[in-house]
Amino acid sequence: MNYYFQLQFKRFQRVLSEAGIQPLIGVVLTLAGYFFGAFYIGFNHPEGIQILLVMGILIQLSALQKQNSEFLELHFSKVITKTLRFIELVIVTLPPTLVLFASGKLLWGFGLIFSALILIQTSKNSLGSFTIPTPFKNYPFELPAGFRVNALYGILLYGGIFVSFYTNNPNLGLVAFGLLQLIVLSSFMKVEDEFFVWVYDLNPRKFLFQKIGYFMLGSITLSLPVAILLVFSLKGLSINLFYIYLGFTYFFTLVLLMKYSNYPKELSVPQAIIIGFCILMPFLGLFFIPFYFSRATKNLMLLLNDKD
Amino acid sequence: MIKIENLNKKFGNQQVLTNLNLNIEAGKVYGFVGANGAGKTTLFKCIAGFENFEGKVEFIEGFSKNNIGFLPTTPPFISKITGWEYLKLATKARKIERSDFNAQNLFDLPLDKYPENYSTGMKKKLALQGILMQQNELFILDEPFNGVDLQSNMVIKEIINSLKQKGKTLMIASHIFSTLSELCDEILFLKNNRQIEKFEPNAYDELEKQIRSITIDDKLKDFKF
Repeated sequence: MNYYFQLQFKRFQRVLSEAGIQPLIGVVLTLAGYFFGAFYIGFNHPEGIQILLVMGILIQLSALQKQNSEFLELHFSKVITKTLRFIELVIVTLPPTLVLFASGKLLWGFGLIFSALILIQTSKNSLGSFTIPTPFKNYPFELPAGFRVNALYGILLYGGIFVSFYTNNPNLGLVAFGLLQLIVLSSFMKVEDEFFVWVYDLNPRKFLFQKIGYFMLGSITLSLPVAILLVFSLKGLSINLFYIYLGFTYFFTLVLLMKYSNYPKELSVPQAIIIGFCILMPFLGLFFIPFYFSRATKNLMLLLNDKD
Repeated sequence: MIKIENLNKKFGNQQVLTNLNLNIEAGKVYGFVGANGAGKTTLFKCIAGFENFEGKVEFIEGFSKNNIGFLPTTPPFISKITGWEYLKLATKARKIERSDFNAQNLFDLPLDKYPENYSTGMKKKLALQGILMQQNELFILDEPFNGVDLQSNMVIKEIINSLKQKGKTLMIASHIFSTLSELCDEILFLKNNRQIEKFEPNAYDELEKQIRSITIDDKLKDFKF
């Protein structure tokens, strides 16, 4: 059992190393950030306790889907497999659990541990085999897959937008609208297998423009109904919504170009820092968008080498 | 036709392919045999354009990257897209507008389900159906018979014969020698010394003897189990 957790720790260090971060510094920063974030939310936010509980369950769900249960079941007995999965889920939610206990919310803290106990009883198949209908079935994988992966969050955000409509709270509506854009954007960020780039009968320029086009299509399809609702119900929001939409399209274009300039590797830390600067100072995009467009087209030449 | 000249491929310090020269003629079926790690998959990836290499791979007479159907040993799939959507993606990527996937469901696959939950054989069949629906000219099939059931093996053999009759070109890597000898116009043996040797049907018996003599040695006697 110990060796399994040692291996998990090694894997985490390798992920950091591949992202260009010194593993030891990365581990310390990640843990410090996670603990500090949980403490900050728990003790400073009015709904901090509820946020930590939801965050903890979402992290457990995510960890449960990522772990290789089939591998564990193949090599360990059922009891040991479930024990390993339980310990793993408790470890990944240690900061929020500790904050819940420290703030005297013992029941909530035990609730998080109990949810780990419930979740290890579910199998990957029971969680993921149901086919969720999507309006994007005729479009490439990012839109249908992203729609299904984020369906739950999307429903929550639509709920938030309707609450903003009934409570006449434009800020809530704007935040929910922005998060909706972020969800669409996140669908495009996973690094796909090379086969799903190679297969396209497109040159790199057309390939990149097509990706941007699909982002805009997905983003407009999902956010137009709520944008209309917000514009007609809460006066003076249209220009804000337009700026949010424009901002996310700019942000998406930059991140997408960086992704394919580094493809098939993940985004590096220096790139993440550049993204940060480009958000703070959008005019930097005038330089970095053409720069990364050129790098991405060159990088994709091997897989999309047609000169049409 | 594909003309391969002086193809060299290294992974770090490890030389995988050395000065490989080969002509692939249109309309023929080529088999590729060799031990694990001999370089079959690497050669296929170099031809299809997945890997950088030294040397030259030239497509002549209507062949291009965009009419290659590539079936990898383990086809990649994307989480949370259905079989139907996978086929749509495979065809649309090649600018072919089709939606008749249920009517043309060659292997009776559950196309409304996610392929991530398919068996190994079903995944391979879906990927194969995808490249067939792309209407390619050249088919590169890396271990197409692995993991599929007996009936599907027979169907795949029939498909290969049909493609051959339609004048398509096929490059097939397989460890099932009897199947390759049945289907192929030529078999190419990639040896561990990085050389490639070509065999025509009248020399298949001799090739089989060579493979046996190389693969079956005394290691098993010393292995403790």
